[in-house]
Amino acid sequence: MSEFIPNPAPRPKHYLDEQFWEHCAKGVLAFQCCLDCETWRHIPRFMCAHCGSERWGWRESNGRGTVYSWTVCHMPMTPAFESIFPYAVLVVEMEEGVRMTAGLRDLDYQDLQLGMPMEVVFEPLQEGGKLPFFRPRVV
Amino acid sequence: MTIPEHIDIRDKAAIVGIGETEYLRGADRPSAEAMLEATRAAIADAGLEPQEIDGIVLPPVLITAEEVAANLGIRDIRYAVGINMGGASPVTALQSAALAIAAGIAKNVVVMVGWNGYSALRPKPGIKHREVISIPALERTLTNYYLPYGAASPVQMYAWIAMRHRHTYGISERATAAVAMACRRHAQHNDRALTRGQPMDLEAYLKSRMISEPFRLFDCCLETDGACAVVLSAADRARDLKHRPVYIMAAAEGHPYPADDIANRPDMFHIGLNNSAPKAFAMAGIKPTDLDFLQVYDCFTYVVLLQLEALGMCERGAVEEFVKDGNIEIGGRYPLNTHGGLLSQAHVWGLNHVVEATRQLRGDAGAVQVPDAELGVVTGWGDFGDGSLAILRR
Repeated sequence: MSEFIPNPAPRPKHYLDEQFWEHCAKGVLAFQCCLDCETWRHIPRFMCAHCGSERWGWRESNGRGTVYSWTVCHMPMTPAFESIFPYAVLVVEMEEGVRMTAGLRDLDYQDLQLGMPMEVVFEPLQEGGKLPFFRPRVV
Repeated sequence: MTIPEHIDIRDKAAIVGIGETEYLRGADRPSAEAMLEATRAAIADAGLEPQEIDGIVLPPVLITAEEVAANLGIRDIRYAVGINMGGASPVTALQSAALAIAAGIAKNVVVMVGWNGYSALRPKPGIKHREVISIPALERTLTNYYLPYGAASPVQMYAWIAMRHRHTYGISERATAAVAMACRRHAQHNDRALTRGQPMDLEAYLKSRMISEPFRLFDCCLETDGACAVVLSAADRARDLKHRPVYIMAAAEGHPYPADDIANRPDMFHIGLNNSAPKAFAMAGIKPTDLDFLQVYDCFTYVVLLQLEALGMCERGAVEEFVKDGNIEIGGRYPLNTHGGLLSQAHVWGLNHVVEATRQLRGDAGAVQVPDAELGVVTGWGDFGDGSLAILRR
């Protein structure tokens, strides 16, 4: 079995996406945070929608969140997923307040529940880089 | 001199012509050709000449206003715009057309949509050519943050909203089944419906396979080929045309926030229609309970449930009670998608819902005619939950 997961790599549109994924490649989950009002944000944006500031930096997340929603795909929509369906795609609400989409690890999708505590794990992509997934977190 | 706050579009424009091609699986012509056929039919239905059309409003389909004008011999287009709200575009286009007419820019505006949603959208064995529709507003989110996890299709992404709603409010599959079965029942009376002759009961619904939880196959709309078109005219002109005019009482568009990422919405259940519906009802001066029928964009059953709540037909979380006991079927209080909808007639981006609403208000809806229908609503849903609506009267 390959050490790589079959998922397609992200396709950055510009440097904000590139920097998000560069952090992931190092096994670091980082989100933008406004330097003026301290509001975290995701997906990456040029400005702070809360206070209008253009000053921001990347801050490392603690990697902890809860299940906000999910779907379980029983029919692969792209060829890359033909070997691994059914699979879940989660929306995870991070402790920092942002939400992100991600895959599920170390849990049967039938046991998913709203609010379930999760933590991030990274897995390597064939094309290079890493993709964050979430697994149940013992609290 | 006082400057009005906004242009009043109420009752300034009316739908005067409707046109449809055959709806099928296996079209052997470009969608542009089908759209032109539907457009000519709509213009003829109105009793107008093609040269009288002076406005064209287009969803992101594969034809240009320039092509339309060149094919139909329209020498003087005064208003040509495109709308980019995915499946919500056709209803938003009604707003745009009514605005152009109310402002005096154009007198007769055509809105068309068509695609080969079955034959050319996705790669299939035996496919001759592909017709790909691009969605620039969503591309960055999709390619960076959704596709790497295998969320590639609307059925998977809308599922995030549906799944959270289902678990938050305890909505059972009886609610989604009620939507699927109402549409299927209505389609049994419609010659243009692809599912005519294929009735569906609760058992069949519950047996259909899972596509992306919580959506089963029968929660998903049909994939079809075809086109339809409508013509809107200024109200004073509309009265002299062939059919009883169907007036645009109100129209509005709404966008969720942020529109380009479902995951990060402060309130995931606040869809575009939550923003647009109150404006449209205020403009029309009516309440949701005044409506005689509902033509609601039904790409997926649960998307109908979300929209019924956003329209104000019931409180948030109370939609299962609203759709039960035949309330949304012919003979019930609020017949829904009386043509069968995208779920059971054909997927023509909901412009087929506008065509059906027009038939209802003309009194031409045949076996599914809502008795004495005076007021109806048409909604559009597109991209990541954009939502538009038009309130129509006879």
